[in-house]
Amino acid sequence: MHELNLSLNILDIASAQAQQEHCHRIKKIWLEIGDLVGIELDALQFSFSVVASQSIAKNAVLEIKFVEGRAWCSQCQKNVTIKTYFDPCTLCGCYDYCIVEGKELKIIKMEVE
Amino acid sequence: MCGYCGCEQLKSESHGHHHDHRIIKIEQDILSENQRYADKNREYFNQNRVLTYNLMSSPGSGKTTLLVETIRALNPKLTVTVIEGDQQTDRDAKRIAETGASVMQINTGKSCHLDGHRINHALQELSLPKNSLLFIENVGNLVCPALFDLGETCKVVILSVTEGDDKPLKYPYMFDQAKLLIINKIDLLPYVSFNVNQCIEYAKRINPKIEVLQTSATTGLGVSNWCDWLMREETYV
Repeated sequence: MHELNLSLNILDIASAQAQQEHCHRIKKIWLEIGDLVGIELDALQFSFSVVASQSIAKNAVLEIKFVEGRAWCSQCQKNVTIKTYFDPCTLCGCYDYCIVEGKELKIIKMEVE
Repeated sequence: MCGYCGCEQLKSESHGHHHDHRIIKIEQDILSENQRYADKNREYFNQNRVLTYNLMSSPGSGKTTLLVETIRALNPKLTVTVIEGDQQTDRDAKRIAETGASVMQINTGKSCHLDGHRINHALQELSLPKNSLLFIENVGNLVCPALFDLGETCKVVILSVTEGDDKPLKYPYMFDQAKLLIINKIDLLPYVSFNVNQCIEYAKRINPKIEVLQTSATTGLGVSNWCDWLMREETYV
């Protein structure tokens, strides 16, 4: 996964919003990241700290909520949990499902002053 | 130091600051900027009836060779334009240019993938004919290109038999995003331990709807099936 690129995007979105709201510091940013996206948490936090080091988000904390992978199994007609893209359905063992959660890459909110 | 905001005021002194700690809702996709450009590109392609294929693979899978043979096979039935993506050089663009097709090289420098913004810029310089076909040969990389919508009609992943049949499991996001898997260099199957059926089974675990073709760009095997697949899209008049 591309943590540096994501960090740059997070900084751009948060900074633009902070500018609109006339803030002078971003203290914390809440993210929602799906388990299936394959983000390395350490790499994201490190790369964000680097890209934000000369910005309004210097020393801002990333608060990350990981969203579990869930899929709708067309055989079972139910939602099941999946940890990877190639997990079989935990109930019937088939692969005929549609992923409904776990691919999120979202900025939810931020704390500013 | 103030334990609340970290300023240098002593604890016993009154602050006189106004602590304006606010929570601002954002609720935005991290890749929303890329999506904005991708949506603009898609609108342009739809308006001009240009079918656009985002070709992704590891370096050395045979994308460019397959493209060269595809352009030769499609000529003159369809007008083809190519956008080439590489970190450096225009070597691939030169090979495409020899076929007579219009081509633009994008050098991404340190970046390992094309994105919607770069394609949007490229489209402003290219004049794509209506009712034509655009191939975007992405930077060789089985990871990052899958994440970025370029506005294409669909993504195509190319995997050569020299790479190992378990790549769909190792790089699932790429195979999840692709409409078509092309297994290339099949002329080398007698010399490698690549199990085609196993590879297809792995790919269909990730993406049950993925379609599969097998080709050898160097011998021409399967290239006509690939061209038939390209020609079957209903947007062609």
